[in-house]
Amino acid sequence: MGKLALKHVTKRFGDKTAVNKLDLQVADGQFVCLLGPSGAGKTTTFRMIAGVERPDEGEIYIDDVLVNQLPPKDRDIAMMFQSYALYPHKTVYENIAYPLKKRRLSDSDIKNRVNQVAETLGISSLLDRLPKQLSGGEKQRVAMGRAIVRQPKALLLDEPLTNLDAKLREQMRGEFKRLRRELKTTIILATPDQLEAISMGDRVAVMNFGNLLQFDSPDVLYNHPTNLFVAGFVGSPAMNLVECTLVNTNGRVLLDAGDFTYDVSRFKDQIKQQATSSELKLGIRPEHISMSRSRADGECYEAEIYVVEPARPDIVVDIRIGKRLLTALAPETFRANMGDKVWVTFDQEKIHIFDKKTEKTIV
Amino acid sequence: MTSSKNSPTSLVKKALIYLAVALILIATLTPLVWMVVTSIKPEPDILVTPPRFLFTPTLDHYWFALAAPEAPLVRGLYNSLIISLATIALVVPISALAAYGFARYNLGGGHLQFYILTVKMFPPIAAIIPFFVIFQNLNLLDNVISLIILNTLFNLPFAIWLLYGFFKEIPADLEESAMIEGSTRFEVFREIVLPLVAPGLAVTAIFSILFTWNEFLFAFILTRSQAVTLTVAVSGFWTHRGMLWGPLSAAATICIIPMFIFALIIQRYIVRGLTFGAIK
Amino acid sequence: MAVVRLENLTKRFGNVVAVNNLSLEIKDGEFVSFLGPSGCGKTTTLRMIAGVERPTEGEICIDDVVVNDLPSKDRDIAMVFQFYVMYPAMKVFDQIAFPLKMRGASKDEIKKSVREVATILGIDHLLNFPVGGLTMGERQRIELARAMVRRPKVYLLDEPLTNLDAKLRARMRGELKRLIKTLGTTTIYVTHDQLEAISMADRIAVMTLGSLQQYDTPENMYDHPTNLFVAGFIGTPAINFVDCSFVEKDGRAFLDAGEFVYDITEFRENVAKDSTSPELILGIRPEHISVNKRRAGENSIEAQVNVVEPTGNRTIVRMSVGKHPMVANTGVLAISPDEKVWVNFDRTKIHIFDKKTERTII
Repeated sequence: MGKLALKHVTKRFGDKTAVNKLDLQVADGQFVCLLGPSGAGKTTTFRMIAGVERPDEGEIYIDDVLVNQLPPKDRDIAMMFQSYALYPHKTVYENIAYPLKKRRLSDSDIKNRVNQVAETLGISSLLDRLPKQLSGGEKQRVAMGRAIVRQPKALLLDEPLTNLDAKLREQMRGEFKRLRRELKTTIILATPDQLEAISMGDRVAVMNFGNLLQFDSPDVLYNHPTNLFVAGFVGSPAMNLVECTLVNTNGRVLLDAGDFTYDVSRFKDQIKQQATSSELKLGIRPEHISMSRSRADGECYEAEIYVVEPARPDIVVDIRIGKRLLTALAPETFRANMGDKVWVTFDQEKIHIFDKKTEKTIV
Repeated sequence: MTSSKNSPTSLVKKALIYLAVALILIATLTPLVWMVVTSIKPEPDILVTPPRFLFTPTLDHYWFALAAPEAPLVRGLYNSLIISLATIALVVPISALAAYGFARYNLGGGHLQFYILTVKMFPPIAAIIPFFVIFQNLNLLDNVISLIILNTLFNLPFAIWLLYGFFKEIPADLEESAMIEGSTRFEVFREIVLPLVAPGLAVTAIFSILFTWNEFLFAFILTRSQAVTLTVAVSGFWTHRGMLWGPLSAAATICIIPMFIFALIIQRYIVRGLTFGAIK
Repeated sequence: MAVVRLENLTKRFGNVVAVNNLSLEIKDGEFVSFLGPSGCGKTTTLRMIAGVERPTEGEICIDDVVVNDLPSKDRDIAMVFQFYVMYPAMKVFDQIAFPLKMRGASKDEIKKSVREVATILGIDHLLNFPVGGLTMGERQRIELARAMVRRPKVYLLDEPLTNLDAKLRARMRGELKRLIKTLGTTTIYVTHDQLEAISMADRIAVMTLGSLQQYDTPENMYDHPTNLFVAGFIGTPAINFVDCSFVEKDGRAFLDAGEFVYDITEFRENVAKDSTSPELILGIRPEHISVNKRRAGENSIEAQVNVVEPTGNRTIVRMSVGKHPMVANTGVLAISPDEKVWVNFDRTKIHIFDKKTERTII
């Protein structure tokens, strides 16, 4: 009930490939997030699953049944559009009741279900209103209501939080997770916001330019990204990515970034096997850079404080090593001024090395 | 740019606007007022120069007009009504379906649309003779059916063009959502799209009625006595004896009264309908 | 380089008081942010300083000169807006040079100034390109350059980063702060985003419904908010507020929140002195709550986990303590929904507010 499989699904618009050989398996009851910038192909994928768009190649299976030729109304999928698509001439009640009317449920059944859903979403008092009388947050909940009232096999949510203001979005993230536990349906949510994706999804599929780059749990995506795009896209502030060249000197293997070098001898076998050239990128997340007033043992670099943003809970500090700018996170007790000199170390366990050409992760 | 409310420039602007409006009103209303006044003026006062405004009003012209055999006003009213209603009964559904097809499916790739629009540009008078011959062969002369067909034909392009704009304004999301929720295309059209373009449909109907009611050329050529429309009936007062101004004015007044009342009733819907599409 | 002083500034639109008796001073070279929800009066205040709006009462002084009656163009200020109106075909150079041209500067002067500013902002390589094909970030810098090229006394920025996407905004914050600090000009920055204000400003003026709530450094705003509104507005996820009553028993003092009691004996004197009633509100920020699997000491409180949101290097945990919702922002944590956990508050970071006056006691 609610298993989804996409095999080699491709969609082209003219000479532009919107979705490229997408392979995706979603287990029954899973909450999957499609994460990617605009133009990544998320909405197109949704439209193909819902049946409003036909794939040029590939197959779509819902519960192991091939549905490519099935019209939208027979697929038992519900979709919530980014624009909410509320029927302007129908009341909130009628909007939510619409899918049930189409399924020919009895009036009393419809009334029960709609009231139940309205109760869950906290919109019972709005049932008689028209969409134009609702606020953005209320419209969003009505759209949700209409999608879940049918108890479909799978729920597709297309950027449901994008049009809400920041505070409401933060609240709704928690609401969604809570709702999800009550619903038990398979949910696929598309979003360009990485925070939304990793805080809500069981698994996240990162897409860019129509390609699926990595499909994993948020934890794995954050700590073990398999390629450059995922590493740079997931996590805020973004991972620091430094271009460097592989250098062999005196039996040690170093990454030369121009303004500093980093010893990677311990990874030399892996690098030798997987690197296609000596052009690599070093990745280190801001929270894995530590700063102190005094020089520490091991590889320590002198840096100048470029700018301090005393955000909370973590202070964001941009530091400059030579001409390179890196971003680091500091605890709230950190105090420094622009121009101060600090000593910087990288957490050895947490560095990433990427092949610049293939963009794949080596370490 | 920041001129205060009572500055001389804005006063002058206001005065100019009022002047312009006044001129337009005078230009538009004078013929109408003259006509109504003439219709209640006694015969001898009508063609006097300078025009006489003081007179004892009379309803003689009206009685004369209604009874005159050369101008069957009652029959004309009846026929005009039938033709108008039948025309909108045809124009509205056909144009709605056609415009929807153009808006959603881009039928004919834009060419068909353009072709239909060019029908409107066609001078009707050039088509008169062919139509006459066709209807003669079909034995449809002096028959309301031929007028219904022609009016429908010539109102469709404008209606389609008007409704196309309205349909385009409806976001495709709404329809797709309904289809995902379980509607067929047609159910979507009926339950979601039509209610939303209702103002457009109303405007289309209104314009069609107005054009059809006032249509003179085709009615004049294609009717004789049975299918005479009100406009043609009014023209009956142009006799070999000369223009019977009095009865003519009375008949013309009778002719415009239905439309006048109609327009008063629906005037706010026209504005709403026309601007509905423009505001997003 | 200027000192800006607002004295008893008030603006009314009919019956609506948009700005209510606002008085503050911005030091020479300071970067101050006007922060508040929409409708709080921050933009209106900015517009009055710019000269686009006239104050109903009060005075605006730039460098000790009352400028109320001075038209905008004579105030030597530059304003940067949210919406960049640029002719797509105009070259970047001309776009930046525009204000100088309007003032009739010589060609040499213009060339020199534009080059200088463009170099500082890192867009000197774009000077000969038309504005049309550039990215949002580049356009934003051009807009800044245009404001800077005249070297005015004061910069006024009205939510300039609002139209950028989240990632670009995060990057531009640091850049912008660095730029402004390097230039050293007095700057006023209006925003509704508290993160922006905290990250960038030297001091923040928090406003709501036309009134100034607090005018302080970001650190003080965060650690020592003077009232409920400031405490609740600054910080995300927002501070946790728990209604409770002040209770004294056996020589000790507690905050009774129904489902739990919290020992506040060491604050007893201050609370007794400054509170107007025993109805208080306990405030604790999410990052100052630690979540433990087992009871951790006397002041540990039992809670039920509702939602867990991993955010990369941290985790947001939404819990309920009885019927009180509570949000914690901890490091990476392996817990699941419906688990029972024990939470501890960082005692040095709790806040106590008087429920009636909404003022801070601790």
